[in-house]
Amino acid sequence: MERELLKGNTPTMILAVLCQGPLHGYAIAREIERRSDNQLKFKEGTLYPALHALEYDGWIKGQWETTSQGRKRKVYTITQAGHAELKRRHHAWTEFANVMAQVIGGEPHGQQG
Amino acid sequence: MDSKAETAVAPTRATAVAAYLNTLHTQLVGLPLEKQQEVREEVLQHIEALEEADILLGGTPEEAIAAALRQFGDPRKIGRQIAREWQLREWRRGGIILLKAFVAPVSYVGIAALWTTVMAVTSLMADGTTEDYALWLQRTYWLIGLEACIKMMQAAFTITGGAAPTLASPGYSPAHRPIAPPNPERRCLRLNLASLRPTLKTLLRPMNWLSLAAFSTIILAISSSVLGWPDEDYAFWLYRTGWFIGLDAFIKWMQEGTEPFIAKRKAKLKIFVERIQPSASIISRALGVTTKSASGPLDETMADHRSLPLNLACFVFPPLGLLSWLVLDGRSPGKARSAGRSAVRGTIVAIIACMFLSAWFLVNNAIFAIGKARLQPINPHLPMHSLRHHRKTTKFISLALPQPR
Repeated sequence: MERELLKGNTPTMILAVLCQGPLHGYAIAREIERRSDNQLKFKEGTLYPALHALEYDGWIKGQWETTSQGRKRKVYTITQAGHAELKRRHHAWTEFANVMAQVIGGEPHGQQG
Repeated sequence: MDSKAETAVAPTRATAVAAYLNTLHTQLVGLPLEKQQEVREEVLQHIEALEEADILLGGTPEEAIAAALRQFGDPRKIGRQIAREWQLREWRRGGIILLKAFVAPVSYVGIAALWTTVMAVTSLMADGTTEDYALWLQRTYWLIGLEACIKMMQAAFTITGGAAPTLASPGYSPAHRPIAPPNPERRCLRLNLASLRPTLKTLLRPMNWLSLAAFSTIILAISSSVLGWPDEDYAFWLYRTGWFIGLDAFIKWMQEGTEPFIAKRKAKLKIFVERIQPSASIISRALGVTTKSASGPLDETMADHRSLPLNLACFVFPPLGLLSWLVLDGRSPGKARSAGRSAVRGTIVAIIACMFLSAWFLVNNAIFAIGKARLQPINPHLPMHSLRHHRKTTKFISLALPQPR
């Protein structure tokens, strides 16, 4: 998978994952892996710049919680503004993907004929 | 021997994690201290979770921690990215605040220009001369422009120092103190705008400005009346003073934020009230307000009713409402609230009355000017300016005119 493509869409993926419910950083990484059938491999630390940026922008909200084992974890929840932003990004992405599919064709070049 | 050497060379888990976190931490320049600690803690939790998962899959602790750190990524790059994202947003926020700081004085200039034009036009209608007013208008605009520039610079420096830290050095204030710089050899020139904050402004409290302005206004008003200076100069001065006070208060508000400002003023007022407590008690008793006695708790059924004399006094003199609220709040909340409401109503009525009077003054001036324009001097050689300014004189001349047959 293209690294730059992945990097640019990390915030969208985080928002999409958090749509299902509150999660901490580690769980977000696992959920993205699970949803992509382990095809998306990335350094997990790269999630944090995106997480903090989303939090600063008010699209997600972080809250420290203590687990049953007494461990502190920062759990992120998507906000109303985050839902709206995800909708906007989803729409933009779908539009872009459709246009790209039209431009580059439906199938890879080598498999035609 | 070999095992000893290995133990000495290979870092333990704790040191490896600490080294990793320290490297990441040093990149978090510009973030508030609490945020830095939060990021550190969060990353540590994530690494521990990765480590545990690896151990569960059958890895040794050493392998697990190495894999976890590898999986997390380059600490320098991650730290730098977090700092960059943060600073980008701080810049944006700082830019918006700065824009507001510039827009506000500009709007003041707009209001000032409008008001000056209104005054000039009405004066022109009243006098029929242009030279004096053109000069006056020019002088006014020039002064207002100059003041606005100074105020804008002050506001920009103040705001940059107080609210948009990334515009200055990343970490000049205690809240944004930097950790060790990533590379001390690569120091770049950083503007520390905080050092340019107006110190004189900080020393001279706004209340002092207010008192000084009020005092000077009164002195000038009295001297103007005594010396017979033209009214418009005095009005102009008053207007400028008000403008100054407004801007000063605005800047002070931006410097301190509303809440601390109000809290500080309230605390000062409370101290003041405590000092005048005996007198306040006497006044309260005289106004029919029951306060809590030293012997026992307040009997709420008999005490906490609104007091008509107090409310009337607060309506006529609103500062008394604030004082009553401070004195009575906690003892007779009903009375305090009622007095406060009366003071607010009194203030609103006073503002409306002032606006009405101003409007009346303007309309009256315009009517007077239109009426005067129809008059002819008794003596055609008498200059027009000898007839102006005084309504009584005009009426007299009007009566003295020969009646049409």
